[in-house]
Amino acid sequence: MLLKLHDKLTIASADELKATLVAALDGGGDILLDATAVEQIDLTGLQLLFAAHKTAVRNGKTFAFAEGAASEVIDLAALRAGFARDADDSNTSLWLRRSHEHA
Amino acid sequence: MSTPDPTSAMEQFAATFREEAADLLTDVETTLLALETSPDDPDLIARAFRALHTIKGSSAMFGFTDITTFAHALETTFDEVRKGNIAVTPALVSLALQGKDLIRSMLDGSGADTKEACAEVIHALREMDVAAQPPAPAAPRVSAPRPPDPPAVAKTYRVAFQPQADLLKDGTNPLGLWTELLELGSGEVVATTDQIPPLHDLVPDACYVAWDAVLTTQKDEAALRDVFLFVEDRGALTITLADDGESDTEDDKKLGQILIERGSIRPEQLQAALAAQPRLGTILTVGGTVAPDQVAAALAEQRVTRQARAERAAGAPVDAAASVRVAADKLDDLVDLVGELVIAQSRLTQVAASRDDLELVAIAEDVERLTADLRDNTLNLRMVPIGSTFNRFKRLVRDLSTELGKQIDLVTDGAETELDKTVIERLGDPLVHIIRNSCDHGIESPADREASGKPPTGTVRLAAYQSGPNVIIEIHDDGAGLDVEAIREKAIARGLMAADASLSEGELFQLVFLAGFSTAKSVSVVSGRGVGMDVVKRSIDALRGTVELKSKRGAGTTLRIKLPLTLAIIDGLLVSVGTGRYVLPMSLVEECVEISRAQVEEARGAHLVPVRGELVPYMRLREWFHEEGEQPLVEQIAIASTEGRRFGFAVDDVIGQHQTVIKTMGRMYGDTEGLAGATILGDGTVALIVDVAGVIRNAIPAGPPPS
Repeated sequence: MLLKLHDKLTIASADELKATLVAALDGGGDILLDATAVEQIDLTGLQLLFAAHKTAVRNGKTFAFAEGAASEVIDLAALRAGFARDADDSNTSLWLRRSHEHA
Repeated sequence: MSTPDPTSAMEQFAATFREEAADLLTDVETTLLALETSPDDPDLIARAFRALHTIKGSSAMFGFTDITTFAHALETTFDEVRKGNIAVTPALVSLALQGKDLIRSMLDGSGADTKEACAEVIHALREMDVAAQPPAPAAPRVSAPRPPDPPAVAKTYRVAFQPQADLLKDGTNPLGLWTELLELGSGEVVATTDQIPPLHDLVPDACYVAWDAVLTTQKDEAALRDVFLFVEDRGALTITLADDGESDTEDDKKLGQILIERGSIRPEQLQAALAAQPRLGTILTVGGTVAPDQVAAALAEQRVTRQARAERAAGAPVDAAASVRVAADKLDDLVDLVGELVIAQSRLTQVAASRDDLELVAIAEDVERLTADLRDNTLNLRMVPIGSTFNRFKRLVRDLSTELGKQIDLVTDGAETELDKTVIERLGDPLVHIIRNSCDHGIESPADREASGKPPTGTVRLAAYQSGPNVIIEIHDDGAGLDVEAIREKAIARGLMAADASLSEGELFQLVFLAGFSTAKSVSVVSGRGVGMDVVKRSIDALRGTVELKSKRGAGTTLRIKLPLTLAIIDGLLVSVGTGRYVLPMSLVEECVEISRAQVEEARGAHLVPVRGELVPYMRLREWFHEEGEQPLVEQIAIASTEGRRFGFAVDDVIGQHQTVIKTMGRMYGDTEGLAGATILGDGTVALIVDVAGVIRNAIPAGPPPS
């Protein structure tokens, strides 16, 4: 299913985001995110997306940004918060560090 | 080297502190003014806070306890602002600006009664704090005074922060912390995310993440710690040195070594893992010895350290600007010396030209080229961007608009335009006066403006730009403009012009600059505040500049100041009168004409020379300077143009253009009318520089211009 994220993924709306994600995961299918509307995200939002990704992967499901629907806001926040990772063999991270940008 | 005297060393530090604090205060002011327009900008708030914090810390170190206490109060308020407990309001900005001024006068030691004023500000700040929120539990935090930054060697630090789970509950934004930390240098942040539970178990507002960061910076550990000032007691913070910046040849630390140093694995675990093969990171992770995040953090450290070393090895500047602070008088000495060199060089050129020695001529030409380069470079050192003074005017306009009950915006343009330091310093007062005039008499009240169909907020535009060897400064307001009729009446009443004379608008406007022309009621732009426009004009004259005024009734007024780039060297026209040599500033000379004895006799004593159909008044420098000797049959007249009219100087001969290194004359000659300085010519003789505007002022005592 395609899940459209709201404009603000912050502590004020964290409960709401959790409920949305839980409902989506409980649906049991693969989840693609549309993050084009996101304007703001804080640590709570990152944690929730991370947890949802982790849970989905453990259940053998896909949890990823839909093609062309990723968000620079989220990418930047993930980079600043140190959530971005190098691609590893399992390739399980929601946020991939742009490879060798520091090389 | 002699043994340093501890007292003088301390004084020197204190002087450095004063300089730094002055810079910081300027920064505070700029930031505060910017905050007024964008009160929610967290970067600005953080910047104001940091500056205040640094002032507090370093003032404590040098024993300025008054400043420390006061800065602490301001800092506390901005801490609340930073936490979002207090909103940035115009009242807060006013108060903070007032506080900033108080710190400045404490620094100067000028304000004797700052104590009371400080107490008032602190009181007002407290009230604001109390109004904003219930008393904060935090006891006043006394931070250790921070020593001045050591000479910049970039070091690499490991910064680990393990927050408590409730970190986020009061609105703390850890992402901001890391952004701020990374601004101190270059580095990477890696979050330890393995504590984040599966989605269903996750409490949305709990913090599950811990961080490891690696940062290469020239700042010291205390500066890093400061970033975490407000969360220090909300988690465990450790900062350790990973790379001391000493070595740049040593091999990169191996990943395993880093992991051991970081305490992620024990050496024997590493050995065991090494016994197996491929990539260490993968093996340790897959083997479950180390969490993937820990490997990621270690890899980040390897990258950052490697990069820092590469930059050091390449000699690349690491972050901070490479600049040196030099006392202004040292620069003045240097300029003086270069001036002497230019003179010596022109003598050399002259001597070389008079001998038939090709080798000597070649050397003289080399020296000439080098001297010219040296001169340009040296003069460049004294150039500073005019923007530094612009800030002061932002403040002025802000204060004035409150005082006058008007809405005025100051728009500045060309802050990067560079001018000689001395010029900028001496330009301050006239500009203040002009801007004051624009706000006071130019811009109308909001009601009046709306009545005449203008937006209620008036604009004063301050622009600077370079134009050839000059810098142009324009001050424009979109106010009421000058009342030409009022000026005309005033001029007639004062006998400055005949009632039936027809003067152009430009000529009328020039009258505004005459001494004593200013009475507040008569003309809108002339201030009633003591200093008149004549003083502005005189200051600009002293800088060898010119002022021009344009105005349109109802649409506004523009003052255009044209200034030379530097005061140290001018292009001059070298002339001779009798045995004397004189220099006229080339920028003022328009053309040279000849006048014969016959023409002089024809004019029957009137000092007027026809120049292409126009009669131009002139005077003889011979008479002004009491030069002896016979007047030649044919005189040369250099026509200068200033204040919108032309005036001639009769001289015996025009020698030619001359790069004039200006020497100020001693105190004894300071008041000599008509002299702007002296210079030394190639042959070692002295030439006097004529103060063209001064001579004209005296030659035509405030009479009506020729009509």
